[in-house]
Amino acid sequence: MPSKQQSIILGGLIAGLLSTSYLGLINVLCCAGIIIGALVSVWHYTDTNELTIKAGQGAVIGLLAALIGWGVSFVLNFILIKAGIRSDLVISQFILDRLGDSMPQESVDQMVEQMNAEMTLAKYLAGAVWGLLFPVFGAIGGSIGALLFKKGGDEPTEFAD
Amino acid sequence: MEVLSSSSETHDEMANHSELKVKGFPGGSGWAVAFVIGLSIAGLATLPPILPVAAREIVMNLFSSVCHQLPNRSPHLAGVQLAVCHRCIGIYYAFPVAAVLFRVARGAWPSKTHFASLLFFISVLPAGIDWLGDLLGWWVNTPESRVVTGSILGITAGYFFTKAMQEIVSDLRSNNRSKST
Repeated sequence: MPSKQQSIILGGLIAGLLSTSYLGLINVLCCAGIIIGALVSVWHYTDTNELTIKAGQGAVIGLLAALIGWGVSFVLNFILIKAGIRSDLVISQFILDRLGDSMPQESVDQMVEQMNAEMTLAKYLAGAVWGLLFPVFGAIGGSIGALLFKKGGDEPTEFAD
Repeated sequence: MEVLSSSSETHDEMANHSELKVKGFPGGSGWAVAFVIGLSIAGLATLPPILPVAAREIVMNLFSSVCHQLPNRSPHLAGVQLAVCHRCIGIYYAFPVAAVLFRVARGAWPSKTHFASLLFFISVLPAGIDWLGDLLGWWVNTPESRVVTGSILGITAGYFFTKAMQEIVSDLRSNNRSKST
């Protein structure tokens, strides 16, 4: 069976970039960035090698692409935050702008305090743990991708062990 | 014109119902596994109103990476916000529904792969159009429109996911069988 490495890395980079900075907002649409990365991985693998893979293989490819994407976005986002680009605050700012008037003053103060707090590595690491659902959505995206991109006919391509 | 065909694997499963409960496979078949996974994710997102504050925060944080959780765009139960927005809740609850539909339809599946792909991409359109129109100020979408368009996408994605789970469980079964012989 051809190596999946290149396809997984490509999908992982796309998932990572789509989870970085303001592009990361795409993930608030049901993890779309991660699912797109997983789909691209499976598409690239089946298209390059002209084969059809099993849903389970697609799920593994999607899961690995999501893990790489998670790692890539983790590093890139931290660099950007340290450079003063606080895309992580966009949603909080949006809530304050749209709903600040109707929110209790103490909630507003709490949000403002959180937004003004400096981002330390420990705090960032703790926040990054909440990307736990990324691999789950990556696996779902990859398994669906295996059904969408059948480049080697309807049945999964068989390989000699 | 044959557009939909029942998958042979499903017929096989139906015919050999007694074989479905193979050791190590929860639920015995792919659609049940997909149903449990879908319901678990949807259920987890619905838990916050009945959880103590500390546990509620964990669930909210868990879903914060996959949903904007804007209070005015999210459903509330007993005054407490659920962990995901209207559109996401529509998508999530459509997954277990799609698993049941897959079972009822006996795994009916488009006979042409490109037709399946087309169906999938068409199902993304209502949610995309509803979201984009609101973003561009052409109209103001409503909780109902977001839940309904999310559900359309969720039913299709969930149906595909169930088909994938059916294949995965079927592969595991045959691997298990070949190991035991």
